[in-house]
Amino acid sequence: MKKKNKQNNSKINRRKFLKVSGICGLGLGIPTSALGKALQVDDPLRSYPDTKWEDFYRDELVKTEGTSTGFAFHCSNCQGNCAWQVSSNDGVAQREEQLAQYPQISWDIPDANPRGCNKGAIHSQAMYEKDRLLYPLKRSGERGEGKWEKISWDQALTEISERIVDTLQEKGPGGLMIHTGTGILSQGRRAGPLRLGSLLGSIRIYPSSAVGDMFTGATLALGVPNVGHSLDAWFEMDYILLWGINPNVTRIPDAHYLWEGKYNGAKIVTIAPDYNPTSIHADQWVPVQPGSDSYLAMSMVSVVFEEGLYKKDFIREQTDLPFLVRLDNRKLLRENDMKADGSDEKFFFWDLNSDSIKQAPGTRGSGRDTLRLGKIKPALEGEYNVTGKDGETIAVTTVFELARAESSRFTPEAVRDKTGIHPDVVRDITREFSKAEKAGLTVGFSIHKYAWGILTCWAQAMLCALTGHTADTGGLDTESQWSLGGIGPLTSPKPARFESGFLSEWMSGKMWESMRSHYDNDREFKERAGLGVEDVIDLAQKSIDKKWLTHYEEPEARIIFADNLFRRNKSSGHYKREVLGKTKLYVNVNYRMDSSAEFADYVLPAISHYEGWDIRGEVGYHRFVNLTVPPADLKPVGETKSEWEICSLLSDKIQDIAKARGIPKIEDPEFTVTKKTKVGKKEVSKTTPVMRDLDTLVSDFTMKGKVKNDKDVVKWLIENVPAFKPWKFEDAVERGFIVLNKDAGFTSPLYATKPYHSFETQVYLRRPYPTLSGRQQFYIDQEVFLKLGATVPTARRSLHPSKFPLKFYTPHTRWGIHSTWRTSKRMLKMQRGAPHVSICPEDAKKRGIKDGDKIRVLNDIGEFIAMAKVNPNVQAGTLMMDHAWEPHQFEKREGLNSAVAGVLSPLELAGGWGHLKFGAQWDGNQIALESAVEVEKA
Amino acid sequence: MMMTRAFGYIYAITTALLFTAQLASVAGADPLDEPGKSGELIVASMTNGAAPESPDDPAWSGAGFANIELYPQISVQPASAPGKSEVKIKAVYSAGELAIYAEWKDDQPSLKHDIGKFPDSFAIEFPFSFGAGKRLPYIGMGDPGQPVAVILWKAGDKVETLEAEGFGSLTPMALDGVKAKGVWRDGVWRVTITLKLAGLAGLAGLAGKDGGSKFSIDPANSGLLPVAFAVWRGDKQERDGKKSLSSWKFLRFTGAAPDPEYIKSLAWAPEGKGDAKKGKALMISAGCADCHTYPGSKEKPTDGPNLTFAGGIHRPQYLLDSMLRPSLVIVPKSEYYTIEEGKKESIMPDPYFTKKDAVNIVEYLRTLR
Amino acid sequence: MSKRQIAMVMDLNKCIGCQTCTMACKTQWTNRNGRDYMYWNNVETAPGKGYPRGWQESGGGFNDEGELKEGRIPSLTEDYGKPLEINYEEALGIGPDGPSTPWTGVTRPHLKPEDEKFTTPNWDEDEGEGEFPNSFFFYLPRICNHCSNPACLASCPRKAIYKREEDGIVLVDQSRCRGYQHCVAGCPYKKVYFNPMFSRSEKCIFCYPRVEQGKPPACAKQCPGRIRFVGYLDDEASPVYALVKKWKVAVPLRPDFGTQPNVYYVPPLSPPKYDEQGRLTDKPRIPIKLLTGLFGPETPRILETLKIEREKKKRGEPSELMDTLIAYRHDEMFTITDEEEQGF
Repeated sequence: MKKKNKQNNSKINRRKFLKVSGICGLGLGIPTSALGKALQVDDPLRSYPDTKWEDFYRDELVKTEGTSTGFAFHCSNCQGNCAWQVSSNDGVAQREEQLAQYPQISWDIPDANPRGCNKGAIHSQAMYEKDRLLYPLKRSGERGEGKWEKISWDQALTEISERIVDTLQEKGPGGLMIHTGTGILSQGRRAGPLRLGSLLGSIRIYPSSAVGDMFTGATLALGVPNVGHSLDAWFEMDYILLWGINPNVTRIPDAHYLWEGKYNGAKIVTIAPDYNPTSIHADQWVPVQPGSDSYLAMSMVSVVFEEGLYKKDFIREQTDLPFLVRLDNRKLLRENDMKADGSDEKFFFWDLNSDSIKQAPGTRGSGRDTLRLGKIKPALEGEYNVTGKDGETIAVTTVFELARAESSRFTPEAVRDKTGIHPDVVRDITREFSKAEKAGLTVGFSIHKYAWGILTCWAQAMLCALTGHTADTGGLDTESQWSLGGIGPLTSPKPARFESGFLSEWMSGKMWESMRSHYDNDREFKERAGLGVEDVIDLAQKSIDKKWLTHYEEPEARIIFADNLFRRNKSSGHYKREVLGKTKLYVNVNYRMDSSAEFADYVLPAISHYEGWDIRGEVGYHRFVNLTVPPADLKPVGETKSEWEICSLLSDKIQDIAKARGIPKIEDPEFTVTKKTKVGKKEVSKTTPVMRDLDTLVSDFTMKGKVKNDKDVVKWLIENVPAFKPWKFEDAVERGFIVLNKDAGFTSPLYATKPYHSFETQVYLRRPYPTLSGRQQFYIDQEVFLKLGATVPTARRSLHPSKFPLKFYTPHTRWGIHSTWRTSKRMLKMQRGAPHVSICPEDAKKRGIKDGDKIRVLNDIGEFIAMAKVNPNVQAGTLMMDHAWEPHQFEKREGLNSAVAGVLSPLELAGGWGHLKFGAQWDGNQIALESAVEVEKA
Repeated sequence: MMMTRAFGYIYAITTALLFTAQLASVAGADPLDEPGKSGELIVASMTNGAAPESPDDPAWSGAGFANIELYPQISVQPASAPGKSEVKIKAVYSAGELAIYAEWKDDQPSLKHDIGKFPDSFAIEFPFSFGAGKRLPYIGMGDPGQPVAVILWKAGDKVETLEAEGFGSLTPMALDGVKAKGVWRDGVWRVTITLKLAGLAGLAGLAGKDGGSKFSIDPANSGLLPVAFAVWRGDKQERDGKKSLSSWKFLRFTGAAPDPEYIKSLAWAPEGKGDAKKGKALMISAGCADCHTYPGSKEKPTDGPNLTFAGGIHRPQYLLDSMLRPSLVIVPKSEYYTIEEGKKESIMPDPYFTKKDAVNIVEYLRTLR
Repeated sequence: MSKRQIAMVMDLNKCIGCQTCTMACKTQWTNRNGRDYMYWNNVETAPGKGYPRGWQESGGGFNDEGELKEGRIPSLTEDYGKPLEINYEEALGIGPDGPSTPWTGVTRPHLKPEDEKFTTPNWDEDEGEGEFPNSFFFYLPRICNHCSNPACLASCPRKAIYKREEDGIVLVDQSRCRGYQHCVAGCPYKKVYFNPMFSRSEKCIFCYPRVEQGKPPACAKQCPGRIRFVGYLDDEASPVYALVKKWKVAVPLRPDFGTQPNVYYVPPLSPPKYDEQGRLTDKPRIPIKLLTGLFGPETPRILETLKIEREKKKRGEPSELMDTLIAYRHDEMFTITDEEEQGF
């Protein structure tokens, strides 16, 4: 009865139409039908009669593409360093998009595009957010009360400079702190505050240490904390161990190399306390107990020894394992044990070929710049007798013997109850790792935020050394960095007060008080730390007194750039009280009102990532140096200024005021300069204290007017950093990035077509490592290490006090770079909008807590309130929380660090020994993950 | 070829038949007060003042209500839930303007157009073109070549003026001087829509149809204006085709002389009375239930329009046409026709009813309301 | 059918859940004009409620007879989540003119969402199911599927939704949409959204204005995980063709909905479970039932193919499939400019 439903379809040529509309992109605005009469649509699945309206979205695209574009990277404490293109429409930033134009270094390695992440993708929104600082503000209420007076730049700079000069007069240069936190790590924008501080001799602390990012275990073994490979090397690995790192969250632009490496045949194993976003793609996840990593690492080392998986020839030459150690005092056998005037930096093997003692080449005191053994075949095992300087017999053995003996205490079976890992699992991954041709062990920043991260990493280094994984065969990877020489004249024209990060914060905040209360069970603490709480506190003082670590007196005036100190410091409430108490002038230079700016006396509004010129290239994850070149028509946001301009204006005021007060110069006896002058024939050298020349401050700061603004700084850097050659400023500005040259590598060349690996010079050219032994070092007889029985890699139990049931740990978040972008509503919308903690279903049930409940997290030092997220991926007895929420995001404005104790790792207080001397390569960590808590419904 | 010839043949006959039918009805009663029918006619009285612009305007007190039956739109999907209702209409006109007052029950006012929320609405529908010898547009949104004008009021007093030529073809149409005011009180919506008579006349021009509109700027010479109404209840998720609608009604301007020809053309007075019983039986034997759903049909097919309220929303002449000349009055929904050499053809089988049978069926269908 | 069909492949074994795609789409289209609550692109943790909450149980799509199924329109507050407004001025003491009006009351208010009760599109991020240490989850990025049989198109009584002839992109005609929201309810993926400011429905437009310029959609171009391939299904030179047609390792999400999507997924592998003693087993964490439910009956074969091809690479043998998924060159993941437009 029915007719079949045949369909016709009229077609129109869209391509032609598009070509036209492409040219004349006229807007319909918000389209309401312009059609004269009803449109008859036949079958929209096949064709559509009128598509003019489509210009609606075309016009929106045109707007976001903007009237001008620039280049940018996001200069925060993220090592991503990604090139973006930023568009601005009539002076207002619209959006950003990854530049995605990095060249592929080799046809068989995936290119690095499109580097970037969720945070970078919304800065065009965040830069206009309501927490943005637009004008200079002066406190009109109590500190932290949130009451402000809007003042002019001139008033702000004048009043601040008056107070600075007061301080210089009363306290000298040591009374002033000019410190730039990790909020700015780029060479461009960091230069201003560094230069001003250097000229004035101000105090600044070591940021990497203050935030707990020092890989001290790597320094013990290799002499430098930042070692490893560029992350494209992941693609070439056969075996990748990711330990305490969560690259899918924290290395977003680089993570693809892992999963492409996996497709390329690599086996990937993650070791972490929770089933994290990286583990979901791994071949295996090892669910370790938080803080038990040193046990796990040592158990792997024990398997290598026990099953003979080590590479003898490699360790004979490249490590100190064949070095001789005195059995009487457990110290390395040194030349001065055997010769009255002998060196304490010459060490010895037992040579199996000549069956006699032989000095090791390549140690610091050896005077020989090579590790080549020649005819020597160093013994790895055995006990020997040598004759001491007074003819006495000294019984010695090898580091190898002692390290093996120590490791035998930590077999997988023996430590299973501590790590929670089945011995079969440990043995399997150890065998696989050892036998793999190219096996990498990447260590995350969380490891050293445990008290024994230093031991964990040292043992990890030994695992790599024993199995011969170094340089292009893989090995330990912490956070590779490039060597950017030539910056000194810009950032450090004069010596200044550079001090330990973690220790200075600990002292300033009197954090020992929180340490005392949280670890009040001294028996328990001693058993785990090897020292009592009071011993550690004394050790800290001793470290300062003996100048193992540098710490100056407390400054009276703090000029803080881009450092959220009241957010990141532990036992935060406590710390804040102490520091504000002893600070007469507190100036915070910032682009947003963070939890530290809000306590300042003056807040100065700075530019953010797209608004000024900048350049960054030290990050070793990839070889690209990025520029920020603001879009030509981008309007300033409020009255913000670049850091360089702010410092330049300050130097102006300071010079005027000093002149007016008749103090052209201030003597700074803390530092001296030695000038050699010829008096007639003979040369006389004269040592005088450094002078702080207030009368020429402006010309000194601007290099006699050569470097006037942030653009000049970028130009200066491109012209003066050898690793940037042969790039010209103009080319860089046109491309938005520079490719580093061969000289960017520290211990290996950076080859144009290969991923970078540390220590090729050591492995192939046999040049010494930057350690006392000139080798990968696994014996340290510094007094603290002797006292704690840690002369060789060992393991210790985490310090979480048993009086609270939940180990509290705070890994890096996906939703901020620390506190940067943490309060962006775009980011908050992608989480739960407010601080939340992950608790396992079992622990939640016990406490009657349901997902979404408001809960109180507490211990003896503080408490905070957050939302419960019942999460099956965290283990019982732990509480996990994304780190770096702003304290002012919590009820009562008490942040998560108010429940974290300020504890120190005693081993990181050591110094004054071999390659353990305070500086960029040796400083400790502020410990973040050794506190325990209880939770209850709030 | 076959088909076209057959069609042409039948067309010839039916037109002839219809013609005689109309002649026969000259003496027939006023089609607008068919026995047992109320609410076919809305009488618009003339006011010397300005036409009212609000439901509370005293000018309304004089005017009398026409109770208009509303039926759920179920001829096509998306259909609204079954259930009859009523809207009470008054009309008043001045020299320049026509005002229409509508009142209907709604215990739950919905004011917003938002995510999953729809505003209560009321619409008046006019044909662009009508008059003696002109078929009225399909009641639901008109049909191709037979456009309708729609004045749509939405809660919050947003008013849209639109035109349509079948389902889904609603398109904004410029028409100035339209005012609307709605008041919800005690479970009742009271709405007044006021529009310029000149504007209405203009409709013809807009549509570009020949002959233009029978109601002219001067109501004195314009007797009878076809009009239909629809109501949407937002809280029942009503929007679009989910609505209650009336059949074509007629607005008569007092003191105006309706064109007698037009009245005749609207007559329903076929030769001999139809027999609803026979009609029902015929529908069963003809297998109408294979495609159409109507009371008593076991299956609920959707191949043809649902006839459950056919008598309520269609005039008898339309129903007759749809049987005798299906392709002339296709329900404008692509499922209901095919296209043969560019011409739409209803999937309704070619007619094989005699006119007598068809009349009987119409009589039955008229009871479906 | 459209003359050609542009399609996207998303490799779930490379997705890291970073939401850069979500933000790229946000700044490209939905951070303005009443679209703030919409996520044309979202990434959800699976298994989970997803976005909008409970979309898989929200109806719509077609039944086996090819008839439209009833669907529901999600609720703004319960399912989508309102745009989050934060009390910056009150909590931080600053405003557009410098200081804001100082807060009053006893305790200083903290920075928080202005609504007391709220939900967000990524509420159950990184949760999933199962019991420690064998819990499991993976990331599921979603855009409009630009289906070959779009339920939104079929549900629109106005025929205001159409499929572009030249690339099969499905669009809501913004000049004819009257905001009836039948499409919102009818799409089983809940990827059409009502815009209360325009009183019209909108959705992912596959960035057609970018595609017309030869640029990939923002979500694909900006994906740092490099999981998204874009190309025409009939272009044998495209990785999309290799993955969908040749190797058949990319399949649509919830094929049972009957809309024939043109976004294809490479289903996820997962690390093995542990037994009670803590020994490693050879059983993947993600139950295969869950995966076949999402990606259809071909899933086990696909996962097996991935394993076999990866083993080849381990042994140093070539594998076209692995090389395609590795995607050595970012720009070669996108084959959207045809020769004519390349000027050959």
